[in-house]
This record gives sequence, structure tokens and C-alpha cells, in this order.
Amino acid sequence: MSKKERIQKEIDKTLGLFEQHESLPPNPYFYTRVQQRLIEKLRKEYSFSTVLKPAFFTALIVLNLTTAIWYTTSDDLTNRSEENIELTDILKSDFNLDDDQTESLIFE
Amino acid sequence: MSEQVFNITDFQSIVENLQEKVRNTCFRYVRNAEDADDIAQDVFVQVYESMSRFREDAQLSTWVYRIAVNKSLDFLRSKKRKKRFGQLISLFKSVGDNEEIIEIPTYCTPEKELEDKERKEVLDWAISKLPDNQKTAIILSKYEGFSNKEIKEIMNMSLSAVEALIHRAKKNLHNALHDYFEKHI
Repeated sequence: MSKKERIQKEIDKTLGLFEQHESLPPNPYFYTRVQQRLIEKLRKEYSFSTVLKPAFFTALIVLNLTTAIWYTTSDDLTNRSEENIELTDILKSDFNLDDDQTESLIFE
Repeated sequence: MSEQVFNITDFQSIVENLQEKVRNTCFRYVRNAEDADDIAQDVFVQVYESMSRFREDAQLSTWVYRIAVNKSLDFLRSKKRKKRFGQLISLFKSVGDNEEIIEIPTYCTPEKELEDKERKEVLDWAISKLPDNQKTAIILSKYEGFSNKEIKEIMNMSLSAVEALIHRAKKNLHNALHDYFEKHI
């Protein structure tokens, strides 16, 4: 038998395996496992919608409130620091203070 | 089947009626029983979740098999990505740490006939080399015994396209096997 014929024989034998149906043995727990997966997935979705979602929105509201409070407070601080600068300028000119003395006055 | 009509009893009967074919279809792709079961379970979870989107004009089994085919192909793609990443990682390891990645199955001596198991490995290897759509067409046609009309529904393409795919798949399989045996005989 020539090499070409042997190759063709091997190919035919190999392709002939398509006819031999090799099937998986039945799995009696298959439906139970699918159910478990569904329950697990629903539980995860439930925990997100009932616990995580409200927690996320509460955190968002708290963050908003904190930002609003901080914004209002920081506005006060800016006003106060502007007042302080004005006062320091007046004191500097009235008492003829140099920069170092003015600085120490600010820190005190 | 509409959302109102669909209930858990329907779902259980769908799983019981189609599980065998779905598990086996997945197995043809992944060649591992545990992975096939895992994918098949995923298929039915998706069936349950997407039941409301199922079009009544299509056949339910065809739709389920389409999900099974897509999920199996996704699994193979992700496995291939992981393998590529593994190969990349192995480049940075010392030579001694490298694990041998077997691409082509080994062949016994020319005098000895191939055992069915070895021959199956060769056939699986040749099928794995086919492009995804040819692979799907040949698996559904040759292993699962679907008619071309059913394959057309599952793959969502025309009958002539399916016939052409099967023809090309057979030709490519023949060529791959020819190359393989030419080297090993």
C-alpha cells in the first residue's frame, strides 16, 4: 500500500468517528444545579436592590450634604480671611511693622 | 411562549427535554464533561432570564441550541485568551518552569494502528483548527445530527450558506488530517 493510500485510509477512519456518537452520561442533578444557580443569581440581585442600592443612595445624599455644608463654611472662612488681611494691613501701616513682624502678628 | 404563560413547571420541562442535547453540544466544543455541564447550566439560566424576549415565531429548542453554541464558543475564546496570557507569562519564567503546551496530539508508531481514543484526539484537534462558523456547522451536522434546515435556524443564516459552510469544513478537515498523517506516517 502506497503512502498516499495509507494516508487516505487513516483520514477515512478518523472521519468515520463522526458516526460513533459519544454522549455524556445523564446527570440526575442537572436541574437542581440550574435551580441553585438561579437562586444564587436572584439572591445577589436582591441583595443589590434591597441593601446596596439604598446604601448607595444614602451615601450619595450624605456626600451631597457634606459638600453643601463644606461649601457654605468655606465661604465664611474666605470672608473671615479677607477681613483678617484688611486688619493686618491697617495694623502694619499704623505701627510701621515690617513683613516678619506682620507675619508673626498673623500667626499669633 | 409569553412571559405570562411561562412558569417554573414549563421551565423544568424545557430543561428536562433539552438538557441532554445541550450538554452534548457543549461537550463537542469543550471536550470536558465538567466544563460542558457548567456551560449548559449557564445556558438554562440565560433561557430562564430571557424567556420574555423569546420570539414566538422561532422554535424554542432552536433558540436554546443557539444560546448553547454561543456560550460554548465564548468559553473557547476565553480559554484561548487565558492560554495566550499564560504563554506570555511563561516567557518571563525560567526555562525549567515552562510547562509544555501540547498543541498536536501524539501519534503511535506507524506499524501500530491508532486506537480510537488517539484518533478522536486527532479529529478533535482538526476540528479545533476550523473557523468558529465551520466548527459549529460540522458539530451540529455530524455529531448532533441536526438537519441543514435546523442548523440554518440555529446559526441564523441561509440554507445555501450552511451547505457551503459544511462543505468547506469537510474540505478543511480533510486537509488538516492529510497534513497531520503525512507528517506522522
